[in-house]
Amino acid sequence: MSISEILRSTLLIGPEISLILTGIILIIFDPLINGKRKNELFWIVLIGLVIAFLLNLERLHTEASAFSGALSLDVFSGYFNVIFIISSFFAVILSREYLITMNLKSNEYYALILFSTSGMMMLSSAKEFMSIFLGFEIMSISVYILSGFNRESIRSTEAGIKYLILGGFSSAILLYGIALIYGASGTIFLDEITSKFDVQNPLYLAGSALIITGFIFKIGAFPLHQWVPDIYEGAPMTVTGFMSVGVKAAAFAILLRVLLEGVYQMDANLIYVLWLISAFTMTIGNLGAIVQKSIKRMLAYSSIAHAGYALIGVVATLRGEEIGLSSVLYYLFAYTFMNLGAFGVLAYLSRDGKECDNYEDVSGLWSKKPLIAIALSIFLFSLAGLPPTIGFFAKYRVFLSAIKADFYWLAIIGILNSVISAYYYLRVLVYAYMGEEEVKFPSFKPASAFAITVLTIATLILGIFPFYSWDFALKAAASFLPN
Amino acid sequence: MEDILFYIFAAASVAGALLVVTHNNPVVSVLSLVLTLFSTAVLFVFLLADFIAAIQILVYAGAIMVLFIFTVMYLNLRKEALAFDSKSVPIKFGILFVILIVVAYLSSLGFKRGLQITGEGTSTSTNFGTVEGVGEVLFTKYILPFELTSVLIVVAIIGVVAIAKRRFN
Amino acid sequence: MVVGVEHYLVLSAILFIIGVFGVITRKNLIIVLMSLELMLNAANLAFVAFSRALGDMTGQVFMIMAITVAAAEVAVGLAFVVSIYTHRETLDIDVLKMLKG
Repeated sequence: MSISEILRSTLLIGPEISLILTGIILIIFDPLINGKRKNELFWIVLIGLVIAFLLNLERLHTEASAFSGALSLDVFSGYFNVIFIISSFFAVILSREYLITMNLKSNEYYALILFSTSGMMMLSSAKEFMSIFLGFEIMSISVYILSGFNRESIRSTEAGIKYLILGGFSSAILLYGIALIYGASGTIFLDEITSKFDVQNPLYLAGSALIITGFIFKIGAFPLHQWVPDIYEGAPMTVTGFMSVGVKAAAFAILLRVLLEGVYQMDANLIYVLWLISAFTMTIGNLGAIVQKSIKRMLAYSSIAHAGYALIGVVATLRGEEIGLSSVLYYLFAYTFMNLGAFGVLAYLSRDGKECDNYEDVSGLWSKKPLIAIALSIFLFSLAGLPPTIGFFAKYRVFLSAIKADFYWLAIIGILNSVISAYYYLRVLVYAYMGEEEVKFPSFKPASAFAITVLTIATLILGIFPFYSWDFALKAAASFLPN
Repeated sequence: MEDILFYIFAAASVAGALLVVTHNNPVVSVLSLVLTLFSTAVLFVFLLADFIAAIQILVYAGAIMVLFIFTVMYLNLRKEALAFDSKSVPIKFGILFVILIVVAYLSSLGFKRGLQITGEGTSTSTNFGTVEGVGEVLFTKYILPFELTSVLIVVAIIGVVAIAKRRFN
Repeated sequence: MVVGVEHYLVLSAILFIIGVFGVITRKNLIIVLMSLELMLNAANLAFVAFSRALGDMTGQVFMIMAITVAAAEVAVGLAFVVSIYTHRETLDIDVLKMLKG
């Protein structure tokens, strides 16, 4: 690769570079500024994210390849980058007051969120296993640190180390899988692997199985979902919100890329394996969520269930149903708003170093903070898949894609699960509207209130007028499946 | 000659690995891990990866292991803090050995069938595995992953500072 | 090559399984981290062996990246270990129990 090719490629990855540079600027300026003004570096983070968003717009209508095929800067990656930037943008705004409440240092935290986002963006566009592995690790290691960011809390620290060990375990499995694929094909570029793929060769099968296992872990799907509740519960609230949407979407992005571009022909039975994974993930997530006493843990189980719903679309895509892919993309987009919103409300209600955690902690919310109560109900309605929210439309599309691909049972299991899930989401609202316990709520927090308002409006408006954003998902899917 | 050396160092690396996962004293575990990593480095030399072998010894067996030793010594871990649950040891070992034999058998079958490209002693260019050869690939074809490692290291530095820094009030 | 490449690969599979065994059965955090290193090292051995068999340098470059990742993971992991030890003076953690959630 010549110098001019390297320069040309570097100019193409503007969004990633702007996030990394913003992170480095934060780290450099943090020690130079004293006292309370440190918190004002927050604005630089927002500027960096906005620049990344603007630079990413370019990717939504052009298609380019950079670093001699290592990165494919297509609409698919642009679409996912929008999800990542939105989730980190709102996670940062929601964190501003949360960090002060929990007495945490802000600038390292923001820098890690930015680096993690840049790792996710690498994952969405990488087509070569070395960049995939490094993007995966940049994202994961930042999130391990963020989970354990609250050093004063033993729960947070334990969540950090648990996540690091289990995540390290899964990335070692991923690495071994990559080694086997490399040995069988002699290359680490997905395009070349596709053309050499040989179903008869055990190395390909073992390698792809190990790689998919590594991604399934990060998604938090059925056989490897048990880490999710503990770690989501221990991590700081805004981090949980960020990783439940960002990391999950990134893992889906790379799973789709590897499945559809790398090991597509792997095995006809792969569809049925994913079918089972999807069905079990939904069911186990929902059954787990019913019995929880903590809202945060309930949302952790619910995020397992939502990974299951999104996997329905992946199964339909593997059956060759093009609408399946766009429904997964749309589902992840929708999930970003509603789940981040739900965690945002809980972060808003945390006060004096104590998180809003149990059902009793939202008791009587309606009488004291009616607007927050309305926002919470919209997010929970959306998570339960009730109209007219974005969650309803996303679920409808996913189930429709399953029916179109002749997976009737999967659609039925999904619908039954949505019905069950309404129970535990609405239970939160019963406490919020009818609870009579005396709970103190924090005073007005402008930044979080702004973020929650925007997320609420998006959840509603995109639910009532889904067509523009749905077209966008269709376009991303079409760019990805050329046939 | 090379095959005898291969078996000696392969046995050493397996023995080291087994000691890592079974010994109660963390210092012994760390040193056994050094043994495993060092033996692997020797095997890398047989595989014509001279530069990689040097890196393995300098970075892995050297720098990373020093971190481990430092932590073990810093925390002054006592043996009992680490004890293996001694009752279940024989059962666990039985399972481990059965699994190891099965894995060795299956993987030898799998690799034999899978490696259609194996040229025994595929002809290699003169700078295969040297600093020059590695550098040429690393700084041209794989320049992007190389740059990404710098981000990864920045993340690790920030993380260590954020987690382990003491708060002075 | 006197010794066939599949010998190296079988060795790497054995080392990988020993690492998995260590992660699953040991309770001490430091030993668990070392077992993770064993797994990564096994993958590295596979990469270098394949690189030799294919006559292609990619495997060796990948091994350098894997070492960097291992170093970053270990640094962060040991920072957590120190932090946990100062909190509660023990490093016991049961990965299998963790997996039960």
